[in-house]
Amino acid sequence: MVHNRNKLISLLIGNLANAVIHKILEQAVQEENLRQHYDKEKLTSLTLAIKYREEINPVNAPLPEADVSMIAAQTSKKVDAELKKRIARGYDSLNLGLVEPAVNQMLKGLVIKGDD
Amino acid sequence: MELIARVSTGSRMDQIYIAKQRDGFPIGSYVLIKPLETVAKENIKLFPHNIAQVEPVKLYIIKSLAQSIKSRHEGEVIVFGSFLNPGFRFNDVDVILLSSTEGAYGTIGKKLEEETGLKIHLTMLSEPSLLKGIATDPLFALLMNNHIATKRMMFDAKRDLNFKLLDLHLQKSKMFIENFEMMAGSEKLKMVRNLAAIEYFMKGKKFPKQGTDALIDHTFSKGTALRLRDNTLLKEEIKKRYRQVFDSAQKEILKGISDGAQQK
Repeated sequence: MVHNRNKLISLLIGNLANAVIHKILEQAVQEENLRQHYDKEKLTSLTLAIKYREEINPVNAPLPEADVSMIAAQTSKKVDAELKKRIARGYDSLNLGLVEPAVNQMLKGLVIKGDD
Repeated sequence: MELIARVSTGSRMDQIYIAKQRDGFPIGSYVLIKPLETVAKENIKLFPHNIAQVEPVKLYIIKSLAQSIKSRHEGEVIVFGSFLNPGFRFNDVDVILLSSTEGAYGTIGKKLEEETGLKIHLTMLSEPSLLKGIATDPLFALLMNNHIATKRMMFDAKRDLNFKLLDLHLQKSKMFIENFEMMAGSEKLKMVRNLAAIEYFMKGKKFPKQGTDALIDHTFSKGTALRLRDNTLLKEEIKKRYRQVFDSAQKEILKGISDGAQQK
């Protein structure tokens, strides 16, 4: 199925946000999460984020600054919203300070953002 | 009467030496010579759990794997996952070695791959970790529900609803609808399986004996699992029910987290 660029970016943001949320939740329950021992596969959201990224030009170079800022902001917003929903329900041990570094790391890893 | 001896080189013929002082094997008697590994393999008994039928060639592979692993490490071997499904649509063989040390055992896994030509995913777990996994991880509990092991396994682990863990696992199935068109059938199947396992687990329901496909079909509709695997299911056919199951699971998990927080 062919998507336009905006739709691809929207799907990319959704999957990036989910991958970051998963990473932060994982850190909150690390000791109890035995799946890390036997789960061999990368999170599907991350795999899909990579697939979407490969459909957005330029593929092998960082995206334009305007796109990078928009993707970073919207991803962080989604992650914050999900984590705050949980914090409001009494979920302790969630560190909101991890959001921005995690988002940055993802953006660099997917060559959305260049090195600083 | 059995003797273990080594084959040694001779000038015109190779030979096997046995002690003159021995019980049995009088001079002139005929004997059968067999490699020691074959004997060890034949002594490995397999205990299937909720496995109605498995192809003989797969049993042979499992026995070979078990013998190979047990010759290197102490512990019981459990084979589970898609390898045990009817047919040959599997990517690798999932194996657990019940041992006092834990982790992925890359070296032995590589050796097994060389011996069998199959991709082996070997994990070492202690028995307490295995039981804890079954008690807290819906997907793990589902996978252990159908296995073949070298010892009869009594998985008597009472379910422990750790809502933070369940929340983490549910996240894996969150983006199903949005990414439907982009995903391969196997990816869709995994997300749906994960969700169905969480739903059953939280409601205290027993997993179907017939395995993952039956679980998915019971949760959604008959034939869903096969059509997901073949990637022939349309989004519209599953979207509404998926959203229903997901939202209900998420609501219950958040309530569980909230109740847990209030109790502290």
